[in-house]
Amino acid sequence: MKSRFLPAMAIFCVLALLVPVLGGLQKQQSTAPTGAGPAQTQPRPTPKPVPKQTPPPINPVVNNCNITPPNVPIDSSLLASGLPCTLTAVPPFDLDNLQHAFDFNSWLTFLSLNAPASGGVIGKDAPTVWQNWAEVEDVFLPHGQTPRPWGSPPIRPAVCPKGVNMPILRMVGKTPNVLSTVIQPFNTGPLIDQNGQYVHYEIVINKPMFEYIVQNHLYSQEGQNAFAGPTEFPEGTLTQGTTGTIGAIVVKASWKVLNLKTEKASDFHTVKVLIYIPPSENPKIAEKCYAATVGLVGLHIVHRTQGEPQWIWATFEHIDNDPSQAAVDSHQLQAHYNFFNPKCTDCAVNHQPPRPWNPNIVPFPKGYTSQIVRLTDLTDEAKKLNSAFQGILPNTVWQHYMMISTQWPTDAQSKIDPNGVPAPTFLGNSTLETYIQGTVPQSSSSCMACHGNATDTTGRPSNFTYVLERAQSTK
Amino acid sequence: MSDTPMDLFVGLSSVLTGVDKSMLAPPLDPINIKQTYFDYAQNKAGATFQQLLSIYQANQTLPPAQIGDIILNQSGDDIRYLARTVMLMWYLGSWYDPAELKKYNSSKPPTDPVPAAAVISSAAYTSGWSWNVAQAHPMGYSNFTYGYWSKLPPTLQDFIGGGS
Repeated sequence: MKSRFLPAMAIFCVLALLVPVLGGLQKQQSTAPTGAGPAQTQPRPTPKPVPKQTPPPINPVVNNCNITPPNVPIDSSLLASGLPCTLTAVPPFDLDNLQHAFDFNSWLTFLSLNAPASGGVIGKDAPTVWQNWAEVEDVFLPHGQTPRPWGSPPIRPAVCPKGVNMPILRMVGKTPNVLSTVIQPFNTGPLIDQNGQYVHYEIVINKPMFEYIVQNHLYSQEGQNAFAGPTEFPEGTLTQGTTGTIGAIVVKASWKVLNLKTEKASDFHTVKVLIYIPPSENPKIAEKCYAATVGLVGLHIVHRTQGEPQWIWATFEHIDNDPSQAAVDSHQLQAHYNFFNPKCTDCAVNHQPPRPWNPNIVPFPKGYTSQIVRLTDLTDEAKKLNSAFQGILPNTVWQHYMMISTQWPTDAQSKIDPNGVPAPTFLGNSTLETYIQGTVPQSSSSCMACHGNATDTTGRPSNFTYVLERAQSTK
Repeated sequence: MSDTPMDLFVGLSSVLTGVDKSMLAPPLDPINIKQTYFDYAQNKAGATFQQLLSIYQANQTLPPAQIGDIILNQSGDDIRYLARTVMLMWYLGSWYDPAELKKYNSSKPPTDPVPAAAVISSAAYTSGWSWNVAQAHPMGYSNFTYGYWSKLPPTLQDFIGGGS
């Protein structure tokens, strides 16, 4: 059940749960003594203690871990193979073969998490499994309020139209500022597509990660202060056969607003959303909420597993986002890209848009569009793997996506590199780390090297996620 | 027995730097700085570099101190100063021309306190072993988590490997 997309159904369920309670109250009232008389002298009944609800297990045991080894033929049987709880690898355990195992694991994870939330295997363009997860905006609430239970519909800003049952793309991004709905990590800037539209972002977390945050009260600054730590999000494990635990997973997605007159929705995983622009004084931006159809252009899938405490970092993109530097150099360009104009010879490449950045003013003034080039091309092995997996997704929107690479720790237990000596050393998604591509240490995008610096609001390392720094004070 | 040129280079480098071979060339080595250094030395010092590897190959079963003595004291200036350059390359991530180093070991050394050098790459800079030997990290770059400066660093053995 896609509760995030069906708030009316959720309300119905809540009402259904309340009806017996209300009915019971009515019955009590009808049998209560009325008027003066002996009933008034009866001792008050001792109230029964309210049974304390046992919280759900944070990282429950599952019996359907996908343990498909990476050396099997890639055919349609993989579509239903499920979610890997952790990496499955086969010898030889050298760098190339392990990279293949992680990339294969990333594709299996992609297939599983992009299956319809309503059930079945990946194929039709429908709200996906991960789109049913909790948005960080619904976890880290104003004044450090306790998040609503897992599966609750998203909290709807008052400015958004009522009665419209659509998911909301809100102020999401790694930096929780007012413009984070459209600005990438480190405030490096927004990405503007070829229609002059801002790209929008969201971060969602799965239930084990949600429960870990909620049950340890890490959703507020006071809760983080009281937490004894260290922060260790649950790990995906495999104990025997296909039995194990899923562990914490974070998904970060980037979406472009589709122009359905000029762009084919069938080329994208699409969703009708409400785009929420929060108000801001500096820069001056008015609060706004409007409906749009958006197409998925980028996807990070980050999974903490028993062998990879630094998490596994997989990243995918739409195949038409932008050309590689090699394609530009050799003039082997497509006619159209989402974020590159092949006819423009003097556009500044990989530059931030000129300020001011106001997502309410679209298309971007003066016809500006981003001119993005992928500086680090995919490896031949990644291209080969992408072709194989795209081949089992014919006639679906999912054939239009490709894995860029997977970053993983080559020495997870290293005492001198808490990042686990990641491979590849650098990895970026051209829609999510657009302006920090490259191979310069400390400047260019490396998932682990960046997230290894993450802390919560107390300054305690937060286990490779920045989401905890969004917690607010209850005061 | 090490036979490939890379194996010889790693073995030689371990003798010259005192850093364990497994640390200079980890089994899973995504940075692969050893290849960067090998290619750089091959490009800069060609025949002398091959000669240095051959000397190491012929003596690799000897104790490290003896190998060092042969390379640094018994094989002539070209080998001696190239070996010093290789040491500096591993420790500082920079290439110091052997001829320049030789000038500094003369009766009239250059007035510049430090010989000219070229940083081989950004990865070479962050991979310099001088930082590890100091149980520290390069200026402007650290893998350690926030607040590491308030704690003791890992042991020297953690940084450079080998026995205690």
